[in-house]
Amino acid sequence: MAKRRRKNKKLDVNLDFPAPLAIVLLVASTLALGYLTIVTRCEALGRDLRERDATLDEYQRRLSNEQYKWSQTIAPANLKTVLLRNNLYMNWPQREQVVRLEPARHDPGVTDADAENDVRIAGLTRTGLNE
Amino acid sequence: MNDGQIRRRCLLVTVFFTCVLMGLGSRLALLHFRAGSQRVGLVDRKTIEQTVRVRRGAIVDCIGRDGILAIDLSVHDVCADPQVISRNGTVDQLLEQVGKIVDIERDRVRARLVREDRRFAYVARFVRDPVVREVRTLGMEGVFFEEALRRHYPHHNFMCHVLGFTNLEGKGCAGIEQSCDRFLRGSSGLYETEVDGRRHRRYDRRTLHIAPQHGANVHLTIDQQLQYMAERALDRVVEQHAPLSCHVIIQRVATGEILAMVSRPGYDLNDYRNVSAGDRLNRSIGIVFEPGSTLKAATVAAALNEGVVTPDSRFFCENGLWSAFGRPLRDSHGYGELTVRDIVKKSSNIGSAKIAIRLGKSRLARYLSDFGLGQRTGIDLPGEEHGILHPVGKWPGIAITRISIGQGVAVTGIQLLGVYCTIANEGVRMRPYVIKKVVDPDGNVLRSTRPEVLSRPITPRTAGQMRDMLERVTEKGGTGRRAAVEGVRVAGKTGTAQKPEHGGYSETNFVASFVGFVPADAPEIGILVVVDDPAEEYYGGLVAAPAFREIAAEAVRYLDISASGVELAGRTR
Repeated sequence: MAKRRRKNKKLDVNLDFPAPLAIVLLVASTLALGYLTIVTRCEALGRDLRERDATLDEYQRRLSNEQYKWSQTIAPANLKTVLLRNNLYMNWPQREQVVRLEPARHDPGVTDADAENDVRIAGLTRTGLNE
Repeated sequence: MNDGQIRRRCLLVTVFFTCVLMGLGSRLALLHFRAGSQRVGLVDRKTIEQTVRVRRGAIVDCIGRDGILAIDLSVHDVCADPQVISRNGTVDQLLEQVGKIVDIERDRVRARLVREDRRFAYVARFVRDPVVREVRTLGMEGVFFEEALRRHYPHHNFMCHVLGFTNLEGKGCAGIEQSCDRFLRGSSGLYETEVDGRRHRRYDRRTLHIAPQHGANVHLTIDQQLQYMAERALDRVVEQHAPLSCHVIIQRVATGEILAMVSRPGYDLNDYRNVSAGDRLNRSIGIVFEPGSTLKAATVAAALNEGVVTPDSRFFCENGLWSAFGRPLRDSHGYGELTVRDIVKKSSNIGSAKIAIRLGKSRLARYLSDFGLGQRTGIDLPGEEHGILHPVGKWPGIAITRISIGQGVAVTGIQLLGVYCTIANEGVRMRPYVIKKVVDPDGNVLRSTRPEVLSRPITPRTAGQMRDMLERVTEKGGTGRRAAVEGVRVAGKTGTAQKPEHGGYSETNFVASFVGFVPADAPEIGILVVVDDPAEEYYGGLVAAPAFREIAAEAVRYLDISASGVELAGRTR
C-alpha cells in the first residue's frame, strides 16, 4: 500500500532573505556575543586578581612576620642567651683549633687556577689539638 | 498566510533586531569612544581613587637576608566610631575592656570618643594580631580595625645609632633610615576604578592603575657579630667605669668599610619617642672631643714623612717639666733623653711638642688636614661633625706645642680612627662607609659603594715605620700594654685628654681612648674606643685599652685573621 504523503504548503514558500541584511545581522550578533564574552571574562579575571592580591598580601604579611622572628632567633645576643640557658659556654676557636681545607696547589698537574675553582681539590691541615 | 505577509513579518523581525543591535552597538561605541570630558560626569559618580601602600625596604647587615635589622610589619589600628559609641553609652565599657587587653592612654582616648560629631577615632595604634583577635571577641559595636604597616626593629637597641628610626608617617629621621630614605620608602601605587552599587571595586573597570614600587633593601657593611662584640665590650665599660658616654668603631683598613659602630647611651628603636635627643646622638660621628695623646701619631708621622726626624732621633724630655712659650708642659712621668720610638711608646708630651716645633706649624697643619682633621669624612650617615682645626694663621705661638699633643684641636671618632687606618693602610686614607649596596625588590642593584681614596698624607715607608712604633706601645713598658692580644701583634696608641672647660682644662674630667689596628704587621681592621669622663680610673691605658683588647681578640678569631694578617677563610660576603 502506497504511503500517503501530505504535502505541506508552507514548505513550498520560497523565502528570499536579503543576503546583505543577513551579513549585517551576523556581524552585529557576533560583536554583541564577543562583547558579552569579554565582559564575563574580565569580571572573572577581576575576581581572580582580587583574590590573588589578597593572597599576596597575606603571604607578604606572613613572610615579614617570619623574617622578623627568624632575625630575632639568630641574633647573636639571642644565641648567647639560649646557649647559656643550656649551660653551654662557647667561644670563638683559637687558630690552632681550626681544621682548614686548603687548595692542594702543589699537586702535580694542578694549577693555582684549577685549585681555586675546583672545591674537590683540597688538602687537610689538622693541628695536634684536634687529634 | 500568503507570501506577502510572510515577507512583511520577516522584514519586521529583521528591522526590529537590527534596531536593537544598532542601539546596543551605539551604546557600546558611546561608552568606549566618547571623549573623556563628556564622560567625567558619568564616571565620577561611580569611581574611587585608592592609594596602594608600599612596604618600606628592609635594612640588613653584611650577611644579607638573614641579618634583618629593620623591617615593616603588618599591624592594626583599633578604631572606633565616636557617634555610635556615645549613642550606646559604651565609652567607659570600651576603655575598661580594651584597656585590659592593650595599653592605652585612657584620658586621651576618652576625649576622642566623647565627640559625637566625629565618626572616627583611634583607640590604639599599631597592635599585633593576637591583640586584634582579643578585641574582636569583645564584639563591641562601633569598634573596627584598620590595617597598617609599622617599622619594627627586631633587636631593639642593637645598632640603634646606625639604623636610626622612622616617624609615624614613615619618614626616616635618623641614621640609615634618614640617609637612605629615598631608597627605602619606595613609591605608592594608585588606582582609579569604578565601583558597583555596593561600592565594591570593579576590577574590569579600572581607569587608572599605577603599580606600587616597594622600597629597596639597604645592605650595610656592618657585621652583626662584630657589632655584638663591640656592644658587649662597651656595656662592660659602662658597668665598670660609669662614663658619661662612650663609643666604639671598627673599620676595615683596606676599604674603609665600617664593620661596627656603637655608642652609649643607647635607646630602643621601637620606643624612640621616650628618649632624649642626647641619647639618640651617634657619638662616633656627631660629637667632637680633644684627642689628646692619640694625635701624637699624626705629629710623629708628619715629621718622619718630612724627614726632619728618624725613629732613632733623640730628644731631651726635660725630666717631665718644660716651659714652652712661657707655659709649662708636663709629662706624666719624668723622662730624660728619648728616641722618637720611645716618645711614642711612653707618650711623652714634651718629646712630641719638640718634634712638632722641629717640623714647623704650617707643615703640621697641612699634615693634620691631609689626615682628615677639621673636615667631614663623607661617611654615608647623617649628622657628621666637621671637627675643629683652626687655620694655621690663627694659631697662637703656643698652639704648636698643644696641637701636637692633641689639645686645641677637636676630632670625631671616625676622623681619629681614619688617622690610624691611614697609617695601617700604607698611608692611603679611605672614605669610611656603612652602606654596601641598595637592592630593589626585583634584585636590581640601585647603588653600590666602592672604596674611595681620600688622600695619601704619608708614604708607605713612613706608614711602615709608624706601625713598628705603634706596635711598641702595646709591648712591655708601653702605655697600651693592656691592649695586647695573645698571639696577635697589636699596634695602637692610648689617649688621656683633659676636657676643656671655662677657658682652661679640667683636672677631674677626662676623655680616655685607645685607637689601633690588628695585626700590626699586615693590618686588617682598625678599632677605636673612646670613653668620655669615666668615674674613677681615667687613663686610656686602663679604661679603653682593655675594651680594645676584648674586641680585637674576638674579632681576629671571628674574621679568621692570621698573625701574618692574611685572611685565610673569610666569610662569604
